[in-house]
Amino acid sequence: MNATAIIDSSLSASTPPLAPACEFIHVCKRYGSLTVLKDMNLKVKRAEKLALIGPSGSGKSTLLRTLMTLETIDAGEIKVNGETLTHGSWPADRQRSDRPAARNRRRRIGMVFQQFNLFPHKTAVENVAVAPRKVLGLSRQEAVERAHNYLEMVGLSSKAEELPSRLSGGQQQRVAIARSLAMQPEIMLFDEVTSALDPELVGEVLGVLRKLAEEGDLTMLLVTHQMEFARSFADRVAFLWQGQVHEIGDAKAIFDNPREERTRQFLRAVLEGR
Amino acid sequence: MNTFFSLDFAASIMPRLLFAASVTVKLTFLSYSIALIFALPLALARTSSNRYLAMAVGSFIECVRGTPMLVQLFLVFYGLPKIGFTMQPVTAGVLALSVHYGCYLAEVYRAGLQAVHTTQREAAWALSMSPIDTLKSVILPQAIPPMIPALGTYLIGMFKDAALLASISVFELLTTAKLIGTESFRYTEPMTIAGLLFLCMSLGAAGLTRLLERLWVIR
Ligand SMILES: Nc1ncnc2c1ncn2[C@@H]1O[C@H](COP(=O)(O)OP(=O)(O)O)[C@@H](O)[C@H]1O
Ligand SMILES: [Mg+2]
Repeated sequence: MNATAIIDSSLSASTPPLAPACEFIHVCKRYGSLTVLKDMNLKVKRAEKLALIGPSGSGKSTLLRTLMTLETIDAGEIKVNGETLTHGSWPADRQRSDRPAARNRRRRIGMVFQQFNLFPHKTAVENVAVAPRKVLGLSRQEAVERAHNYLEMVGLSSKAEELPSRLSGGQQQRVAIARSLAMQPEIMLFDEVTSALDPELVGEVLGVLRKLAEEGDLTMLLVTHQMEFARSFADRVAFLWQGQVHEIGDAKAIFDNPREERTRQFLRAVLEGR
Repeated sequence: MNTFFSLDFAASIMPRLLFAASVTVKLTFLSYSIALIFALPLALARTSSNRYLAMAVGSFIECVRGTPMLVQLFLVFYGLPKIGFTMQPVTAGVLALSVHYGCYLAEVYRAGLQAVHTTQREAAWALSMSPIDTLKSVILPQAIPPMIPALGTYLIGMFKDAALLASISVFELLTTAKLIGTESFRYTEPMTIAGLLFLCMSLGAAGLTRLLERLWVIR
């Protein structure tokens, strides 16, 4: 625990004060012959709320997954707080390192998945408490206390002792959000977190996201097909097309006045689809 | 007088057979425990991202599973002394049983580990959990319960295969039954009793398996 504290302070001491929260620099990602991220460049400011939109297969999930180091990259560099998180020239086992130093860098980032991915054998409170206890070294009591706080924040205090299978999809996703938040990351990634939900359950999850956004400090990257939500939630919106950021700008500008023809086509198709 | 099955004779040989049965139970539990532990590195190596290691261990497992246990037993007992590893029959028997079953159990582990969806590993990764914590807190608790029936089947199989140790004169249940037969020229009673005792062990193992299954589901 002390060791991690020392590493953390040394990290922040060497960090330039105005470094972006995260930065993609000429990042390429391929699956076999398919190039999924093509010379991707993107800077996300601290505490910024960035919505990622784009057609299916444009690389939105891959972008988030490379930032979470769930996937390796083939070229370029990803920085977090001005520090190299991963580099295309590193061998795969270094990019996907399990070493404590690598896990400490990764700890700044949390991710919420489309399918929740809760631990099915653990109750809601255990799901939230397990990582703070194992990774941050909190005592059982501290971890459970922290878990209850975050469950309260997502409005699920009454469900703390339930197993995921006894919760609705919306409730499961809120537990998953609490689970990520309990690690107190600086950057949170949300990959279509309402896409697997029945329509009547979408609102409760979006409500939690909105509350998080209003609280301020957190940098949030959100992949979504909910255009109205993206518009009200995001500071900026990035439109991805064929593995590149095709257009990026203020939410209002992108939705009301897209410069690029592709963006316009995409927005028209999405808005007609509803 | 020379009946097909004499209860008096059966009663008189019972203590010897029961003692021999207890040897079989001990040998089996010892070998099974070693197999349970030995199987874990085998399963991890076989699923390792190091292709050569995975292939080497995979070939070893397939060789052991693809040849009769009796062949392995003879190789261990008569072959190893030729290269300097002399051992007691009991040691050789336990070694052969553990390795043979270790390879089967490794495959049970592998199937169990692979049945836990990769998204569970990804969730643990996104929480920065260490590999060992991921294994202990996320993977094993989900992988073990579905493995229990298969583990039980192999425990029952091992009780029966322990009888093969008779062939290298370990004094377990079958050896003793055979010996009583040659001493008294009566085989029906010792073999019937031995069979019943083996049946009891199998039923006991099956019961234990069901109990474990139930305990784990409640948890
Ligand atoms: N593990 C993988 N193996 C091969 N191709 C993949 C893999 N994951 C994603 N892809 C491909 O990469 C492209 C981008 O995928 P993704 O990032 O999921 O797009 P999006 O989230 O924008 O729909 C798609 O064509 C998809 O088929
Ligand atoms: Mg996607």
